[in-house]
Amino acid sequence: MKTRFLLAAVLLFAAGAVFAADQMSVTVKQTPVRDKPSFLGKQLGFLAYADQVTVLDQSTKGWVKVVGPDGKLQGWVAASALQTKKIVLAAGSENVEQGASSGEVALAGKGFNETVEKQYKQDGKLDYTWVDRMGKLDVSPEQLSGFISQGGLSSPDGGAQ
Amino acid sequence: MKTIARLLVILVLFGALAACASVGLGDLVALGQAGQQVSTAEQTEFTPEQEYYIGRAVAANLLSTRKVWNDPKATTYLNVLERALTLYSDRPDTFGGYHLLILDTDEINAFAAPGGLILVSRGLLRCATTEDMAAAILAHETSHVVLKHGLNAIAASRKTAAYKNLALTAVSVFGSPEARQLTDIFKDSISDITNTLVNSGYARDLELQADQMALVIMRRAGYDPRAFDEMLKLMATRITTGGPGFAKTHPDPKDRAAAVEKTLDGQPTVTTAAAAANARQSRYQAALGNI
Repeated sequence: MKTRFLLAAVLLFAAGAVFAADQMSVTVKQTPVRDKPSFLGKQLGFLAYADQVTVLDQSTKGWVKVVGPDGKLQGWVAASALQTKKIVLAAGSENVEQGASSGEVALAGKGFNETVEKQYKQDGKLDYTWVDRMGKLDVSPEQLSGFISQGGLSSPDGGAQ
Repeated sequence: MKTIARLLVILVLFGALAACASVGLGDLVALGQAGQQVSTAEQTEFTPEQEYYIGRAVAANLLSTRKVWNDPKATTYLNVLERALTLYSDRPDTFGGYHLLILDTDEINAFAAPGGLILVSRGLLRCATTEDMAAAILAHETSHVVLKHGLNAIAASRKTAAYKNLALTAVSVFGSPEARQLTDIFKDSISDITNTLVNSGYARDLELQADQMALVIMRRAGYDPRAFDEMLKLMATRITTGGPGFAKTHPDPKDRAAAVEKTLDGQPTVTTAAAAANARQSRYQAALGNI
């Protein structure tokens, strides 16, 4: 009888773990949601840093099929832009500092953040003009797909391990 | 009967647990706001967001004493090449993405700041005469980012102190003691990285590791890894022993070439269709012909 009791408890615990595992967070500033698991797939929309998504499919290497926080935006996101740890956007409050630092929750804006950068920039009288400018040197999906196909490069899907 | 009753109890308990979990984040933050300590688990590595701010500061420091070669065509071409290469790496995404600038100097040099801000000199780009050779240069720099070599250059003792503080503090008030304290740790961490990049260089095995990863990226992308060997051999003819830049911070290009050749020996060759090879050379010349 004890064995059955334990077995039931283990099964329920496992069910709980599966429930928790179907949520992921966006770890980059912005990432596109695509119509197929491919860097060349059509961009259906974008997810922002700390957005919580529900995982639908993780069977394709390097890609995760998700539903966005609005429940509508659905498609494929590169696995390297996601993590299982939840991220809380609460950088605005000084008193949040003691919370949300456990293994399951990461606090966005914690530690080295915009405020630290501002302070550091002022202390060192550093000019960030070129740094800001290079951060905006984005490559469009059309530029990228044209470059890859014209140059006879391999399909990038499956390139990342 | 007893079993069913027990199962029911478990189900009820599980439901209660699930409800607790669903209350989740908002309440955790609320507890924090009320000044109650929820958890002080120590951080064990920099988050992608923290890496982003470290990388920006490293790049700002490097650019404070170096001039940018502001050629839009060459810069755009190299940014597209860089972005393409990252897709074949083990880390296609960083917090702020991979971006590249060209440094206006004859010195053979390049810097990969954490998070993907890459600076490469005209002198180094002249060690490439084809797109495949240019890809070798960028794949090596990308590998430093993927392998987080920059972050690893921060002194271990400083990292321990940083993680401890990072796990506890979310500063938002400019000039506050907390901001001051974190900025001091930040400043020292940035110094560790820039000193390594500019003066001492990474350990020899890290450079060779980046070379090996670059070969993998090139092969996955469809670039000929032998172009890496060609580029290093050309570099060997141009580098000044005892000079600045790579001569000071990197292993001898001849030694690097020998290690690359050892890896490539016995591996299948990568062939490129004539039309694709022509397209690569044509766009390479158009963008970097006057580098």
